[in-house]
Amino acid sequence: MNEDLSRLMDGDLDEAELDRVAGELRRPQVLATWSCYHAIGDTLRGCPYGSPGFASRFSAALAAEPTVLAPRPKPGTERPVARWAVAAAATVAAVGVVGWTAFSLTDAPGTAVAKAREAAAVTSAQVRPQVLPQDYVLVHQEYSPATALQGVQPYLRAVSVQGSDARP
Amino acid sequence: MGDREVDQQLVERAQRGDKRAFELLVAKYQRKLGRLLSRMVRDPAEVEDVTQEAFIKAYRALPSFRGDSAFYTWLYRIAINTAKNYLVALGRRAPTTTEFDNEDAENFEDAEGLRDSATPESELHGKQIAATVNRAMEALPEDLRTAITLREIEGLTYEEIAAVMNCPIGTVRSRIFRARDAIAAELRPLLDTDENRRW
Repeated sequence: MNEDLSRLMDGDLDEAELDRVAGELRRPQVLATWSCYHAIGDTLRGCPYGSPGFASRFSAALAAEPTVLAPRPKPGTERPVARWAVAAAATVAAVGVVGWTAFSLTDAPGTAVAKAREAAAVTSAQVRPQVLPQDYVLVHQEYSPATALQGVQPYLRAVSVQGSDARP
Repeated sequence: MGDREVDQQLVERAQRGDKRAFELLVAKYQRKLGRLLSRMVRDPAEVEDVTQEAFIKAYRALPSFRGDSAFYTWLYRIAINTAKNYLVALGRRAPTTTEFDNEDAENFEDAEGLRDSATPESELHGKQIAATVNRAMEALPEDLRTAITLREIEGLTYEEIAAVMNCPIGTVRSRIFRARDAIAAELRPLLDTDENRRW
């Protein structure tokens, strides 16, 4: 067990091994050994030793605290993957919207030419010279936009004046 | 797995309701945090009180710890704020933020503050512990002493120590454990006494 604590200090235990060691953490002797190992390391690094009774006093204070229950995902696994997935999905969606918009606004060149030819053919077939009856045109000439005074024609009368020969 | 990953594993266990996992973190950082706080709070008894309060606040705030920073960096901020509030409550001047920037959290090595504030009794106790550790180190076989020195003082990983000492990683693992166990056998009686001694 002590060797496992030593390895845990140095980050040499994997998750499964830590699970096994975690079952032993409730033994007070384990915490004492862990604390002693860290005291050795701190002393070798020149860190003065503090209060020897601190751990036991803190244990009493911690026991009075309500137990926290806040499971969180690992920062190095789930959340970066989730961020990457969201970013990728947003990128794909943006490219899709832009691409679809561009595709719907622009046709292939061959299709445009074909439509133009079709339109030209339709136009040439439908435009035919209109043959209107002469009397119809004569009757409705007053409504023609070519007449300067539309609607006035019925009230006008052509008058011809001759010279002095016409006087009684 | 690095130091940060070990802390993260213990934090996650504590977040799932394992108080003992949090006590392991306290045992790991109590001296480092006490040394830091001794620069702000001079009285040794007050240093211990503020240290304990900081750890309790950290435990209560565990649900908000998401691992974006190292556990000690997060704990460091809580401790600094706790000390500042403590000093303000006593009507004393709290150090400015720039006096304790975040770099201190990882690179704090100055022990002068604690030495200045230590009582003669605690200073003597610290010297006894240091002498015991040094004596036990000198009594170790050369390969064990080298292995634990490379690990604890130089901070090398097992792989790096194996390369330096030209031996398998399993041998490094065993040597470091045997060195710790031998020193602990000498040190444990000293740590088990003076339960009421303060900083």
